[in-house]
Amino acid sequence: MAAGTPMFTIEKGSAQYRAYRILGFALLALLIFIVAFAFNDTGSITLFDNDYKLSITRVTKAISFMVAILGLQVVAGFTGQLSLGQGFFFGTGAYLSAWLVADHGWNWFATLAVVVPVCFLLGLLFGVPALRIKGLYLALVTLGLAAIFPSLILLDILEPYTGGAAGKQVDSDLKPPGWLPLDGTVDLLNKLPVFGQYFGEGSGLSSKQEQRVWTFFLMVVLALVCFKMVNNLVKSRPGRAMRAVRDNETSAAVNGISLSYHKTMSFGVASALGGVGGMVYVAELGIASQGDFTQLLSILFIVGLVVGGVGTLSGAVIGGLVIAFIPDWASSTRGFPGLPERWLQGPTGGLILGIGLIVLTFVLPGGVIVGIRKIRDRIVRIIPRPPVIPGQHDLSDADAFNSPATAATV
Amino acid sequence: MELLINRVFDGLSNGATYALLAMALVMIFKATTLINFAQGEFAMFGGFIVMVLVLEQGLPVWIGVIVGMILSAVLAAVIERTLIRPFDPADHLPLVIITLGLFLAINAIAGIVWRFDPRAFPEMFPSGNVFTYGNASLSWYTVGTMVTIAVVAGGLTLLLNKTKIGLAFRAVSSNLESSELVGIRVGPTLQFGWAIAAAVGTLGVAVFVASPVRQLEPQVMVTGLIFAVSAAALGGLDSLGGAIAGGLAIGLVQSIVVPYLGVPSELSLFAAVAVLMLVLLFKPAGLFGTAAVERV
Amino acid sequence: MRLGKLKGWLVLFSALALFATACGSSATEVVGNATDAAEDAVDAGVDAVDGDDDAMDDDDAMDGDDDAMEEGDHSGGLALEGSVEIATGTTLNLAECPDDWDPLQGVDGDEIRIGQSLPQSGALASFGAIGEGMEMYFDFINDTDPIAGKDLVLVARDDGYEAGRAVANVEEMIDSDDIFAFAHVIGTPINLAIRPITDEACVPQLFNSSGFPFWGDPANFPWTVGNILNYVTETEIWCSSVIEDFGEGATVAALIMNNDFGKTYQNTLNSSPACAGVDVVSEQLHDPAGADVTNEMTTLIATDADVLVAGTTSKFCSQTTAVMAGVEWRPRIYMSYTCNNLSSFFSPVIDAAATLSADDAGPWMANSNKICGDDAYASDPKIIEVERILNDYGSVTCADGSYSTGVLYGEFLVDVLRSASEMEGGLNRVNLMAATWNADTSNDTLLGGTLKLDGTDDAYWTEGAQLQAVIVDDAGNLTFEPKGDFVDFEGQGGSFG
Repeated sequence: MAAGTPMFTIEKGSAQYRAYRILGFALLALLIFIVAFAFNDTGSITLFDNDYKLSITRVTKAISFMVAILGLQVVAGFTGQLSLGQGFFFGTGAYLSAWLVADHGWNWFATLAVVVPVCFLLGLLFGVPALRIKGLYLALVTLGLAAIFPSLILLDILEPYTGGAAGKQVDSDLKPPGWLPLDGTVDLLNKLPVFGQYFGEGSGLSSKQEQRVWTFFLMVVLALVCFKMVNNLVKSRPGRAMRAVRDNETSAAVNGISLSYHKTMSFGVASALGGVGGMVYVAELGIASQGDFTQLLSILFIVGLVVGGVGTLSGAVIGGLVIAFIPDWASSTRGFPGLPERWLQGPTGGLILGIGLIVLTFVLPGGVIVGIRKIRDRIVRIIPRPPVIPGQHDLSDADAFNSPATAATV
Repeated sequence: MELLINRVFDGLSNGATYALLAMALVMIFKATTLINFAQGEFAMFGGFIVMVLVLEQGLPVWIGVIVGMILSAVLAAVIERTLIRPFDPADHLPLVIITLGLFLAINAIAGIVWRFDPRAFPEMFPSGNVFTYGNASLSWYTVGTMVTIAVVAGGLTLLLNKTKIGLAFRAVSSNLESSELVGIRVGPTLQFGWAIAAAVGTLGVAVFVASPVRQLEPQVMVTGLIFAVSAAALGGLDSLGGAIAGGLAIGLVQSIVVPYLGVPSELSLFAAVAVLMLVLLFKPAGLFGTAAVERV
Repeated sequence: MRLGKLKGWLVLFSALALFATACGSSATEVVGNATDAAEDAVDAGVDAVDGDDDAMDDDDAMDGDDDAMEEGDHSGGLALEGSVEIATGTTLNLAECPDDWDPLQGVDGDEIRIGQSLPQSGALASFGAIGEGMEMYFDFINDTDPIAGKDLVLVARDDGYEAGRAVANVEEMIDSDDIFAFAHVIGTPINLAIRPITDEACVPQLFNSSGFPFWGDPANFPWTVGNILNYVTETEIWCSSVIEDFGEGATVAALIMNNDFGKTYQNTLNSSPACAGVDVVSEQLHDPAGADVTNEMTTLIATDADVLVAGTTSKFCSQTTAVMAGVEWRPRIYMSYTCNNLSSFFSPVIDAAATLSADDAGPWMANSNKICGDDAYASDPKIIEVERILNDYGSVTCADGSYSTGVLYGEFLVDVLRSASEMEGGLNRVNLMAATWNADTSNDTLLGGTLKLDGTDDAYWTEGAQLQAVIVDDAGNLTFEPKGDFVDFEGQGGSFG
């Protein structure tokens, strides 16, 4: 029936399925652990004489992007409203938390208590005109919104809060609690036979490195919370209503779903997530500057959304990684066999990213997640548990089929 | 008074470029309901082609412009055939990504080949003023840009209404499936649309930088795209006349509303977006666009 | 405390040993070397501990140590640990550097590795040419007169003028690119964002390409040094000139680029005492990514002010010139000196420049150095050399972009690197900072004056300028005509802190 039969077929609800889920989580936890300690001391991949860096700073930056793209999944992937203005809310969250931490000494996570409601309300505010403006027009208006963010930040009246053109620098760093055996963990990892060398140079962690690992772990937890919440949202009644709105507005309305409510809510949620992403960004990088939040960022979010896979949660993870790493990896490409060096000077980042996008669309039009799912499907397929209707024989019971009684009736 | 007149002329002449770019966007949108994010970059690249032809190969300005338009049309046609045609026109997402990719790639290529410093562009219209009223003056350049829009609009209308291929184009924009059933080859028709759009865009950039005040450089259309899409949306994404109205309106908003309403000049883009949003609130399909009527 | 120091030495030597044997050694070799190194370290550590013990017993430890550790006093060269005073009011607290800090990182092999983060894409991509120009100059130096026999290597990464990307770039470069020092990083928010990182990692951050005055603060940030002519000083030069020629109360209209670069001009015009005598009648801020400034210029033209100030750069220099040529208003025009690349910004509008020049209204700029492309220096040996370097090592000319600026910046860096390599102890980070904060040099590209730093007494590098106007001479060439004497503010900048 299928071109490639999967190696394992697991039924939902069975013990195997539980084991599969636990394995999945364990792998995720392991991956996070490895990334934290392996990339802390910036690793690099060398290809064709080009040095591609993997640092935990950039991974945390990717996490901030992941949360922002998650927001886009809610509004664009699940509710079908193409918003090109996520950068606006990302920047708002960034500046808001930077101001609270730098000028008022708040704790980073405490700022969420302000950032989330403010961005949510801004999103709602924005969702209202979005009710009238549809489709491509909406996309263009939101793009305009993203484009004006830097100019708004630079307004003189806001200068005491935003630091103006020099940016808002934040000195507060998240310091790991003393009892956390980070040094010990690194020493332990260093002792591993083959892989030990990747976990640093045996000198323990400097305070800066400890901060980075700690920040990474905290942000991972925050991101997981966000993903879990969105997952719940999608599977819940409002979530199904949103997807109904995406698929066919008229049928949804006819079925009693309030279009205006769900549309504005989705904008609110998306903007709130964008703001959270902004907070993570500033917490890691220590500065909010207007040059970071231009229309290019909003366009990159869309790229991440689509490259990852629209309407999927894991797509947001991939999308975040892609837009955090690929532009810098692309500009680190200084030499490629066959290409004259002249062509790799200057704006190589844009060139390689652009060409990469085009190639990707041909190879994986549904996003990278489609490719990953195909690979996963080769290995394992989850099938829903067949329903058991009272009175009928269990269809998976082969013996029952072969018995004379059923042979007659079926 | 004179200041106001100067501002009006400024607005009209800036608006003319937005109008030309907006017309290019509308051409593609009409046929495919797709916004080509790379439109500005196609136009900029076409502008550089014209510059090379005129300044390095020595062609007279207008010949160079026409040849440049043809070359950019050919380039766009090739791109459509290789990169756009393979995809289902109804599925927008892959196409959005491709146009974004083209946006980045073409901008980078122009930067690599011609670098980022401003370049002089040959003048297309006679220099000097038609008349001067105190401090206000109407330059030949402003007049020239308005004439260009009129000619282009007229040309496009003729093309769409009086030629066979124009008819095919209108059919495809109206109803893709029926057109296919009737035997219209949709692919080449859309390709034609892309080619025309690129040519119009090139003319737009050429006119824009032919001003004695401006110079050509690879970033010239990066922000221009936002203004052009605002103009196109303002006028209605499927209306050519609307694109002109929208372009001029945005240009005038920038030059008149901003200083007189006390909006700081760095927020002129903000003013344009605000105007766009206000219009769309009352007319969701733009000033002259056709409202979508869905059959349930 | 003793244990800490011992551990530190152990760690340092083991790390160095591991690093040195990292490539291709077999496992046993590595272990063997590490053990040897560790043994040496124990011995050295013990010696160091004894020495430190003595020092720490002294109650006035700080002052005593400073005297003991000054240049050339004791063991030959500046100390590489503890507190080292390298210049007036400037002390490096090496004890607070990371455990694996190495003053010789990036120069202990065949190379001198210099790191840079700059915009190679985005709205300000034209400044990427500066990095390319530096690389060309480095290649030239490596061929003709290498420093300490090593290859100068520039590791440049693109940050698109985004502070977030610059932070990630710099952290990655410090971690894994073996960088000796950073130089000529561009942009105020970018430099501000990476300053705490370089400060904590004890990595030199030299010659920040940013006009904000923050960088002249050696008391608090000894590892960070500014470079280009302070835009504050530049604006004050303009204001003095305006008041001198037009009297108090002269009216000024200002076109300002809306970012960190332009706003320095705006802030100085509005709040500096030197500019208190001018009356700013209109300020128009424009989008750095915008297409043109016609709307802003129309508003400014309507003011009919005595003076037009253009605190902007690149293509907007050309546009302003072109607009002014077409109107009747003839104010005195002052432009940012970043507009002084005649071949890049004025050749495209040479007719407009000629019109203004004929009316004696060409833009004035406060230049510190000779401009490549200025006809007056066409036969200047220094300028000819610059053109040759650009041609031989990059196949470009001055007109193609800001490459000549890159060459000039490269020269500054090579100067201090060479001075440091000639100090006792050779090329290391401490000597580099000492050489920089005590620098007293001149450069043939400069119009005059010296490049001098003296710790907190004089924390600004380029402080001299001469007002010059852009004219088109009788032969139709663009050139600068001096409009006054070379003014040297050397030593008057003091420091920021």
